[in-house]
Amino acid sequence: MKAILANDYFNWTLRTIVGLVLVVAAIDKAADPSAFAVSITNYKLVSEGPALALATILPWIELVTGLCVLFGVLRTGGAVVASGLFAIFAALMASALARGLDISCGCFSQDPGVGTISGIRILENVGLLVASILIARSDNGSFSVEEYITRQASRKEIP
Amino acid sequence: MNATKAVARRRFSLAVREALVVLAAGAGLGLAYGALTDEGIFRPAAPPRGAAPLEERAGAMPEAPMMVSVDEAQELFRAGQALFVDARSEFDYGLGHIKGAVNLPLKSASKGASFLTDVPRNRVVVTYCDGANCNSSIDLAARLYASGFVTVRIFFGGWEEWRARSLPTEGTRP
Repeated sequence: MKAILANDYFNWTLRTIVGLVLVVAAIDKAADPSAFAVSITNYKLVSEGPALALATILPWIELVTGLCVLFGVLRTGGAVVASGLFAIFAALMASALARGLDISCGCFSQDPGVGTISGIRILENVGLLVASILIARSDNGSFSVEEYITRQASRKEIP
Repeated sequence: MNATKAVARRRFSLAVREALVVLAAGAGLGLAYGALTDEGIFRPAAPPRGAAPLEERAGAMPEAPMMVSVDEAQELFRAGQALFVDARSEFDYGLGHIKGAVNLPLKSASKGASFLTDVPRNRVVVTYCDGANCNSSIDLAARLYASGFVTVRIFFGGWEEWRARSLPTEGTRP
């Protein structure tokens, strides 16, 4: 596993997938927190007030996390947050399915007819969770802003 | 061995610090965006219940469809302001529905069309379907909202909760 994680392109591909998914998923939610709050209340776990509070900050956490993972800034911390987010999303969807709720997952679009929760959606989230954990555990920062800055700094040190 | 543990500890500590920075930055941006756009928790609060009829509140600024509980649905029903819209099939509607509700099965409410053309757009509409096991009340609410209704509510508990409370119904087998 370490050998695979050490591969620059594999690592970069994982970061790109996880980062892009988070950024794309955040855009629709961040643009319309009220609609996202409806998606949250559909899960029937929180009332309107807490749902609105979550809808205000969660999309932006997703966006910042996605950008960090994508560009390799605060890469490890970003991947840790991403792991937490995907774990929570998968658990919420599993809980909704177990309670027999037929609702939109609210993942990428707040259109109620789009993206109904299903086993496939849970598996997608589990896959992204695994990818995020691999990124968090990897030392490989290839093609990242962090690596670029470190390289520039070490160049300056050499006379 | 101790060196390996120390490295792991340092790595863990760095990951936690970075994660906290990411969370704080995201939350801060979310709050700032909400405050600047009056969205999310910064959305202006609705007037207290009973202060003014909902129809009067329905002004030029439409609100996104919101969920209402069975208590709120009952209150709207009692006040007689709202039009209840049943998203279930014609057959189910015929068997029993909320008293005074009109039937607009989701299947016949195609996207982009205009519905309930004889109903003023500032009238409060409440959509419902069977209950927690259906999604059509939400879908119908979105379509009514898109067709110009400014105050759309979703009674997600639907027919099941209404009947469980023995609230007013009508139909062949209410």
